[in-house]
Amino acid sequence: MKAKKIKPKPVSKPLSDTLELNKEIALEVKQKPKSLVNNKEIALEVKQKPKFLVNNKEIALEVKQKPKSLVNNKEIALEVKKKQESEIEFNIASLLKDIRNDQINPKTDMQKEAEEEKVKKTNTSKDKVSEESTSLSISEIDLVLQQLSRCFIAPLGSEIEKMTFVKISAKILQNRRVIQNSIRIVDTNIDISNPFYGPITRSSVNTFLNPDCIPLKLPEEKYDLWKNITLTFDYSIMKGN
Amino acid sequence: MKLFLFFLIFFTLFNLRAMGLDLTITQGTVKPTPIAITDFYSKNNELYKIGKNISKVISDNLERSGLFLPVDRDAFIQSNEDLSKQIRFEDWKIIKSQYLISGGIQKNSNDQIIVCYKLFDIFSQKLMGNKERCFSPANEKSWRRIAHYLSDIIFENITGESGYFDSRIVYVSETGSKKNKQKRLAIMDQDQANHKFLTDGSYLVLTPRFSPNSQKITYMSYIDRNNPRVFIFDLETGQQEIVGEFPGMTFAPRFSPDGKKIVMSYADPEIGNSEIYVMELSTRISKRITNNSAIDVSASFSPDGSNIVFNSDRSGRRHLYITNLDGKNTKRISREQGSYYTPVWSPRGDFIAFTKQQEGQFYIGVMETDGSNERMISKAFHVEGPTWSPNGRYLMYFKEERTAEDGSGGGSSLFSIDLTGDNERPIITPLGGSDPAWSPLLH
Repeated sequence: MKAKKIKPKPVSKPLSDTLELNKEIALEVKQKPKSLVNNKEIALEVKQKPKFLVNNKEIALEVKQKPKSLVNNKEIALEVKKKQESEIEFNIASLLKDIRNDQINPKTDMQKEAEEEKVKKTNTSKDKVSEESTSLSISEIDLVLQQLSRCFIAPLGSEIEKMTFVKISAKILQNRRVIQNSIRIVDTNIDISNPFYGPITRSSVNTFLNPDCIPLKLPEEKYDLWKNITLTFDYSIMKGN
Repeated sequence: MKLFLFFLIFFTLFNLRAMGLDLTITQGTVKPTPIAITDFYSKNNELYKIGKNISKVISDNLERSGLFLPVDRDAFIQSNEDLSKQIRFEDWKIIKSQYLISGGIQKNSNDQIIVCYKLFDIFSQKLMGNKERCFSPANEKSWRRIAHYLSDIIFENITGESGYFDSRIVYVSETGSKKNKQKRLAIMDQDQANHKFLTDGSYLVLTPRFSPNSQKITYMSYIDRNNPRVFIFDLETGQQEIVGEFPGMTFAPRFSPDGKKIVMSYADPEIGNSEIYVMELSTRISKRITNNSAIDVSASFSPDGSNIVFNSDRSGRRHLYITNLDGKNTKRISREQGSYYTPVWSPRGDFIAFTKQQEGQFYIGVMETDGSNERMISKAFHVEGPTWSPNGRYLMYFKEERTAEDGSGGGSSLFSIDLTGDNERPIITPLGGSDPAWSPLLH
């Protein structure tokens, strides 16, 4: 069936906004060259100290890398200070006190026996602690699991297939803070070409870095048991809060 | 043997200690991602105003998506000027922002505006993409386009899904009583800015649809009251033309994905029913796709242009069918009770959205292309006419109120919703609205 072609007739004036927008598409969006002169997108590498042309003068924008936070610096300084103080106290004050006590109050046999008994008792309780510290209790595991679940913010908008999992590992400091550059994606079944690979793995990694998970709620005396942590994000049974 | 057992136990314990703690996370927090969006900084007051507007549009776009929660600006600790020199991650961690968008705006030696932005992952203290990105809008007035374009990039960087903000909506603007409705073509940005009427309301218009390059709109017009026809409106020239003279009514048109064809329904007065036709726009030659005694209407192309989905009452009730462009391999895909209308193929090709009527209720639903996994995402007295966002993850449609006995009410308005059925939002238009169509991305 061939339809009769009819000459177009102008019905209303073109939209001025529309025309401007149409021109703009070609100018700014379609191409992505790296030049200022051509009025097109400019890709500025932060590492290379980006330069701008303002009034024909070249202005170099200083972009410092790896910014050190003030808060962190303060924290570090405080820790160092505390350590120094405690060392001095031990070396001088406690030592002098012991010597003075020994000189002024020489110990009797009875006192010596009592002290020996005390040492024996302490050793027994130490053995008990070392037995307990070979494993984490269910409540200790539950506590940190709850904390980590709260810190895991699901990647909204990402398409996640049912059997997806992401396994990450990290080294933890004794102060229960994660060493950021130790976080590794150990295993996952998401293909790296999947557009959601980045958002899904990032949400897993960020669980460790979420401020609500610093420090982790772990028993300090059992450091050996959690100095390395592996988290598996299992989306096949994942629930949201 | 004893020695062997001793070593076995020793090494097992040693290994357990070396392995560390192994946990499985099966629960997470599902909430919009907190994001801080600062005003785009400039030392020039005029440019700073534009920078402020850009950040407001980006913030509104991201918030409307339902996936982001912009952090209250009053909570920001680090000042804009300070941030333009060096970010202090701790200041943004304290206010629990997971991402930060900062930017700058300035003029270059040619007096052209340069807009630059940075996207930071606050938790991992990283600049995403490892670089600042800059763009130059065509002129100062087009800052809004830049804001939409940046929103798309940011949305994609964070979610992995392409954006949909730099797009437009064409719809039928409605005013007047139900018996005497004035219907005009209207167009606006997806965020309802830059609203314009395209026709004057002296004749009825229905079912407008964008061409793939968003420069043309095809629709059905009653410009000749007795002979409604399919027209094409050129947004650049303002001209509109009839796609062809036919003895009967042509209606429900849609462009093919390559923009070279139009699929539409044609009611042949000699046969007395409606069939689906595809017209080659360069030659104006039409090819009949369906050949059936039933009424076949509302065709929509698959994204690769090889198939069409349409609705037909050939089984006694209105159901959805898929067919090749040669009319072969026609198969019914809707299986449930009720009547199905207005099917639209998702731009990603994974779903078909439709209107369904069942037991006095209307629904907007989606199903996979083989008809499986049908689910309803909106329900009302009358909801109809779904249209997909360019990324295929949001839908827009219209809702009509029930008309009261005295004839009042009955107004219709536009709504958007995400594919999961969450985040339903009204689309604000100057008058009532129906038959929305979402454009592809403009960039």
